Amino acid sequence: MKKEKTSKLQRMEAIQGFLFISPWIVGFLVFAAGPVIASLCISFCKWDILTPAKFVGFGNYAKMMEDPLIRKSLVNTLYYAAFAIPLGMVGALSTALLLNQKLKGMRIFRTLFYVPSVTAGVATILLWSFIFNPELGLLNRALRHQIPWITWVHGFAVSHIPIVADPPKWLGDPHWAMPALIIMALWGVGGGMIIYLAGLQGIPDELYEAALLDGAGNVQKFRYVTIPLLSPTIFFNLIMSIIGAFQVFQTAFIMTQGGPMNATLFYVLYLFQNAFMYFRMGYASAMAWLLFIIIMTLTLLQFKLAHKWVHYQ
Amino acid sequence: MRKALTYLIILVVAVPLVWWVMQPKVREEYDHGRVVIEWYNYATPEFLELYDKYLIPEFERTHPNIKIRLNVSMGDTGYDAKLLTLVAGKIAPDIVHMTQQNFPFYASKGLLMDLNPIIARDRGFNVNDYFEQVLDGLRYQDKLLGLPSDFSTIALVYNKKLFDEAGVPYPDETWDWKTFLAAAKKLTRDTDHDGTIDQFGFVNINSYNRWPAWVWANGGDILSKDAKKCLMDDPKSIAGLQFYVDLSLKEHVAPTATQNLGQSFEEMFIAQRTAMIPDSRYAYKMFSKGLEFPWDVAHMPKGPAGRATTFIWGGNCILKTTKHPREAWEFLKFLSGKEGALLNVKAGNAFPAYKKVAMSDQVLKSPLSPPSDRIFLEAIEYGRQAPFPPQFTEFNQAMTVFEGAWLGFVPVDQACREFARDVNAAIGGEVW
Repeated sequence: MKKEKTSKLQRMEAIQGFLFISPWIVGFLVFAAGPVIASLCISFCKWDILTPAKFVGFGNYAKMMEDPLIRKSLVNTLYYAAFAIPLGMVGALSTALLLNQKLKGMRIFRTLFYVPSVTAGVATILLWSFIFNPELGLLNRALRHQIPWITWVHGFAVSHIPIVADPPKWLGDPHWAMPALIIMALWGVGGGMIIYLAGLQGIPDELYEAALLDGAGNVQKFRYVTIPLLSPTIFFNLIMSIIGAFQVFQTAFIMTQGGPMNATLFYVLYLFQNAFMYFRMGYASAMAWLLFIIIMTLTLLQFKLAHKWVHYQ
Repeated sequence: MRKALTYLIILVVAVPLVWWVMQPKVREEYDHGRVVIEWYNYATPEFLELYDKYLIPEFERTHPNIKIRLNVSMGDTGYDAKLLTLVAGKIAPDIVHMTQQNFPFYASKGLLMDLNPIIARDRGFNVNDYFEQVLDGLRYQDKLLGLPSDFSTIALVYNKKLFDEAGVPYPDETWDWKTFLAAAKKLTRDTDHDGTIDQFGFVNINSYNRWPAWVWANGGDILSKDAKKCLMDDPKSIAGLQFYVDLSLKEHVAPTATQNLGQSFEEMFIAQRTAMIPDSRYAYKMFSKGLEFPWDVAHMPKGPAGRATTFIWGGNCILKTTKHPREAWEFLKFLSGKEGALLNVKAGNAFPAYKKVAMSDQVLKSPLSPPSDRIFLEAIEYGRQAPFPPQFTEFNQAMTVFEGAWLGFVPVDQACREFARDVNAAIGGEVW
């Protein structure tokens, strides 16, 4: 009798739960599930939209293996991920720690640091292309700025020497284009920051007090209280950053179109080019499924490793 | 009860939604007894106004049984993606606007209707009314797949004031690469003596509709006549491209890609930061607000193998899928014929491909025309279209190596050889 009652309640809750998420479910079934299944089928075909699709089995996947641009775009994406993710995570966490201090006007600072991540993508991207302009850009003008140095040539003298005489051409140089995009990625740390901030505020003050009584300093408090209790948040941010890094598209699409010399050809950009510039829908679908497998593997791997360092309260 | 309610909600919300999404969209073929012809094009607002107020009403007045419906798309990548979606959704337009850039793709896919049989039957239509070279641009394997409406060659547009200031005689028929380079050197100046160049002699435009001219002028070529082999690894091709790249990287008479300060070459010309640019007559629209200096047009300088230049065009094609080929042909003729030509004149859009109007004073002595406007027309005699093999994707991807050549990261000869190797590998293979 009792048991049945619980299950009835459970069932009701389940129904309500499904009802609450039903807008998403309906949207997913109508707009996403169909295309997802279709893309899997298309990935086994050669299809240019105009002429009927032709079944080629694993032809697209085989072609991907020998396409040097697939490798190039994967290497580019990994290069970006290897730098942008750690920098972004450290940047976001340290900003969050600073903004977690109890100071006057903190709300203003929090807003200021969060604003860049909600401003329209294209607008900020155009802003950054101005900053990176090799001749007139803010960055290179600052780097070329002459500062006085005291030098010794037959006696002391003050001479004006630029900080960097010949600064990089950033987006105009295949070696510097990717570093430029990595620097630019730091602009968006606000998104991760706000999540860390929420996580930090969820840590009870008693724990810090207890640590203090045990004689812990600031570093120890951070190491033994903050980090373990923040680990679920860090874990979440890590997964989202990795997925985000593998899906970088907009910046490269607008700023560089993958250039110069494919230096910023990200995997998703190349996928887009295949689909909507070259109209190789089958090939692009196969690329999408490879990306799915990569991201899925990485995410599962992280969940496997998570129990070693993530502590849920 | 609750269960029933849930199913009911799913039924009410999801099923009609799915049903609605699955509905095939149908294009209306008739409107009050008139045949509807849908024209898909890329139009700027000023053109749209001319279409709406002048061209379409005029056509509908003289052809009372046909109604024209405009389907306008903006944006370069969006244009083709939208067209392909329309075709895939089986609601394709009847007539589409094309340029030398996207035409080869659609032609090779067999999407466009061959006009030769229609022309053979239409006595009132004369192919010779059009510039042969431009018409050739719309031919594919002996088929004529559309009619050009406007075109322009690329010629040397120059700022007379900067020539006068530097004491250099204006470019003329005798100019070859040597005189050109010597003049460009004198025209490149650091006017405020701060160590950076403020005024360039020329601007390299690294677009595939421009640079082949330098290869041709040196006796080289991009592809063999039958498009079966890439000839960019030929020493003549390499030397031609080398001369061109040297203009910016070695002689410094043209800005490098990073020296243009974010200005387009036309903006640089308007701002008097360059004395010469290789440009088309389409640029007049940009100059229509009036330039603050006298300017003119000259032939491209002669190379060791003679004079060469590229041309670009816009035109319209009938899709094979049209249900009303006869009506579509009537409108196509109108667009490229005298009426369409006059519209292009009104819009100040390069040259009409319709000879009689293009060579009239209405065009050559228009308020926008510089004194030697005619040179753009004369240049069609030696003008050529940059060729494409059917393997566009691989061809375009292979071209990435030239980005390195323009910036000086890859030597020109190495870039040419790599390009030829990649293109030749692709030409033999299947179109993927």
